[in-house]
Parts: sequence; structure tokens; C-alpha cells
Amino acid sequence: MKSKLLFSFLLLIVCASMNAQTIADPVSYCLKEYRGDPGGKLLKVQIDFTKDGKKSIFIALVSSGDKSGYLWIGFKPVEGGYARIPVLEVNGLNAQGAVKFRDDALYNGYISELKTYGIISYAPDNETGALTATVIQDGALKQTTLKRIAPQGADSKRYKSLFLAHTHNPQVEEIPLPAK
Amino acid sequence: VHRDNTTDALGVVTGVAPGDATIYVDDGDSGDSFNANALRVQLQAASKKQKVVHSVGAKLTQTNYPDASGPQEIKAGQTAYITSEPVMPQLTAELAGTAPAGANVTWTLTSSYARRGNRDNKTFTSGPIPATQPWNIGTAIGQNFFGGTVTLTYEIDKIPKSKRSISFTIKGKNPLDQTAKNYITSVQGQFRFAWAIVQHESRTYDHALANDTSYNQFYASDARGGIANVPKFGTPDGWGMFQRDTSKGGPPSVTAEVWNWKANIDAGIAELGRKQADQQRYFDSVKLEYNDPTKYPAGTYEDPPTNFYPQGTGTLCTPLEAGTMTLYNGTRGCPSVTLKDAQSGITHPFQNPWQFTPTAPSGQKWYFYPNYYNYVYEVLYNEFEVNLPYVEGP
Repeated sequence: MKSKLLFSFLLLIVCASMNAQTIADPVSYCLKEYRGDPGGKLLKVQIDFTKDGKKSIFIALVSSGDKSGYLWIGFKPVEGGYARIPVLEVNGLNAQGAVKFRDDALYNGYISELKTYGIISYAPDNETGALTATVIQDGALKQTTLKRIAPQGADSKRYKSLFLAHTHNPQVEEIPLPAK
Repeated sequence: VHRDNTTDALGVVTGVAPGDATIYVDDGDSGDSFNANALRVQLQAASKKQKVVHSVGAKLTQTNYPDASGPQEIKAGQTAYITSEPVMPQLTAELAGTAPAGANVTWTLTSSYARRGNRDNKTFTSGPIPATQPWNIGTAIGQNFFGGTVTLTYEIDKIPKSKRSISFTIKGKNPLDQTAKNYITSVQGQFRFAWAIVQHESRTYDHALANDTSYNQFYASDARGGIANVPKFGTPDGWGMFQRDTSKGGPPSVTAEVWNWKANIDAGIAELGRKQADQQRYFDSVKLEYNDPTKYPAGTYEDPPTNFYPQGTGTLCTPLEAGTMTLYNGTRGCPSVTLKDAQSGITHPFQNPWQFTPTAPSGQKWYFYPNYYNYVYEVLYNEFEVNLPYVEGP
């Protein structure tokens, strides 16, 4: 209990310090930070965690991607701009500021299992794969596995309704990176 | 019957059986006088039924139809097959019936595979060729591999409104498991686990028969999660034996990878090369960080172990091999760390199964975290160490 309290306190400090840095435009910030990356492109997607019209922005380097997705850095709207969203945990492991999800199997809306708004993404492994939820909890991103599904089998309806309905599937924008 | 509705006198035609003749409406070209004879035969046989429909058919033949002793006609709605070698179906199209003398025909073959959007759309045309000459489609398509829904359209220049089409499908046959494995081992080079990766990725379980098949470029049967002989597909974008995905940042999967199992293997091996380079870049970046005397005491950094046994396996492999395999499947479930990239000089997050703890005792600084799917175990224990059976597909 004591260690949990200490962790929460430390997290609060980290969050506060990260929030202290206001970024006017996350894209400009990342273009500057990542110029010269061999992938040559950034990806940007807007995510609504709150349903109040204020969307967070996630940015990833194309070169960070693999079959399970890209590594995204989140920025939430704050007074005067945006602030980096810290990452609480990813499946219980150290995540250092990034969460991974695919851009072509991405849902943003209400997550009934967690009773909140967030992202559901799919990470494949042959004919099955994992549904992963990404939400904001205590001011930080938390990513957990919801369940393993078979999109071409018993779970095809769920897969289609989440990722192919074109109603809650945010569009990803590609932004060329300048050379170094 | 001429266009102006005048007719020639009826005469007796010999050598043509009623019902067998091909009927044309004379278009006024004096060179078509023989067509009028054919028309008279039909008119007599049909008890003066007045509606005459032109019908020059087309015949489509696959000369390398799998397991057939000779050429096989492919009729509308039927399937031509890519062979297990693989070789595209060697198709020949020819007119069935007699076209007007001196007529030319233009053949067009279009193909699409809806499951891949428009990525596999192909079009080939013969241009105008003599109607008496078959069109060798195999020559026209050259080295292209494709499949899906195919439409063969033909149009005869001397017959008005003669454009007709036949729709059929092109699907594929799998090689024997050992044939596929032999090919992979012949091209895998330094990636000695490549065949085991393919064996894992292409496994398909049949719930009814309660067994797996493997080395499936195409589904082995309807009961195995797909439709028999169409490309094996893993949502959202994995194709064929290697199930190589667009893999985010890597080259997109091209049509040949979907329909030609050898091209699929070649592309998968190339992908392993890119993943190995990514894994090495990560190792170099960790070294750059922890070998910096301005940040850490001398001796903080040490190289990854020379080799190790991934958790649960009896196979000794190098950290680079285990990392490459993990990156191929995706690093979901592995820790991430922000480092200065040794290659680009940019500081960004890496997610990797290998984590370095600078404060750990020597020999224990590196730790391998299996990814969410425990992929290295799946490939090594199940496939490389031959612990998970499969059967030869139909």
C-alpha cells in the first residue's frame, strides 16, 4: 500500500512536469525532433478520449512500425496548446512515453468493457490477434489487452463493427519529414 | 437478310446440319455472302422463327490444368488454377464458330481480387488479331502472377455489337510441404529459422478434422478458415505463406506475393533482413547510450550475451536472431525505451524484446522479454523443434 502511494505520488510529479511543457503544435514539435529519420514520414491521428470535442493528437514515426503497429506519442489539449500524455503502463510493462497500435485496425469510441472512451486496436498473429484498449487514466495513457479474437472466425462481426464500419475509425495523415 | 430487309432467294445448302450453323445477320458486306447461307439453314430448321441472334462464342483452355492429362476447357463460372510450381494458368482463347472472312478480334483479360481492394487489378489485351488465330494469354501476361475474378472480353470488328465476355476465376494450388520447405532452406541464407517461421505463419487449423496443415499459400480447403485455393489471409493485411504484412514502414505487399508462393517467400526473407537491421540498430543505440562515459561509469555497458536459450525452448540462438524473429511478429507486449538512434541520431522510443539494465550485475544486464504472442517460443519450440504436428494439405 505504501509503495503504491509512493508510486502515485511519483507519477503525479512526472505528469505535472510533463504537463508543464506546453507545445503549441505537436506536428511542428515532432517535425523538429524527428527530422532526418530514415523512415522519412510522420503519421498523425486525432483521438477523442472525452467526447467534448477536444481531441488529442498522436504522432508516430513510420520507421517505428512493425506488424503490431506504430509507436505513438500522445499530446492532449491544454490551455495554450498541447502537452505530452505520459504513459502509465502497457500491459504492466515500462513504456516510456509511447503506446503501440496499428493505424488500419483502429477504433475510437466508447469501450463497453471499460465503460469509457478510448481506442481499441488490433494486433494480429496469424489468424487470431489481440484487441487492445488504450484509455486515459489518472491523466496518463494506459494500454491493456481486452481479449484475443478470431476476426475471420467467431469474432468477425465484432471485428467488422469495430474496424470496418467507417464510423469510428479515425483517419491517419502522413506528413513528410524534412531531411536533417 | 440484308440491312434493307431484302433477301436472297432460298437455296439448298448442303453439308451443314440444322442447328449446327453459326448465324450472322448480313451487314451488307458482299464478302459475307456465305453467312446468308447459314442463316437460311437456321431459318428453315426453326420453322421460320424470325429472331436471329448472332452468336460467335469463345473457348478458353488451360493447357497446364493441375492433375489433368490434357488441356482443360474453362467455361464461364469455372476456375483456372495457378499450379503448385508455381506457374500461372497457361490459357488460350479462341473463337468458337466462324467469323466473317478477314475479321479481326480484340481480346481483353481483366482481373481483380476484391479482398485486396484494387491492388491486384490487371488488364491485358491482344489488340486486333485475326479472328482465326487463338490468343495465347500465357504469353501476354508474361511473368505476372495474379488471380481472383477474371473477365475475358472479345469483340469482332466485322460484326456489329459483337462484344461478349466470359467470367471465371483464377485460384492457386499449394506446393507439397517438403517442396516449400526445400525452397525456403535454399534461399533463407543466414535466417536459419525462416522455414520454421513460415511453417508457423502458414498453419491453418481445421476444426472439423482437428488438425493443422502448413505451408499454405492458399487455403487448403473451405473448412480451414477461408475458401479453398484462395490466398491465405490474416487480418488486417497478411498474405500467403509468410503472412508478411504491410509491416508498417516496409514495402507494401505486391500482387505477386499473394499469388506466387515463391515470391511470397522471397519477400518474407527480405523482410527478415530489414528486421535484423532494425534489431542491430537497437543494439547499437543501447551501446551508444550506455557506453557514454559522460553519462555512465566505465564498465556500465556490456554486449548482449553471445547466445542464449529463449524461454521454454531447447534451441540455442543469438540475441540478434531472437530479436529479428520478434520484430517480424511485432514487439507488442515488449518494454519500450527512449534512446538516441545510433543510425539517425534522433532520440525516439524503441520497443524491443531486449532490455538493458545498467545497474544489474555483469552478465545479467540484458534480459529477453518475449512479445505478447511468445512468438520466439512458438517458432522455436513448436516448429523448429518439431513439437506441433501438421498434415499435408489436400
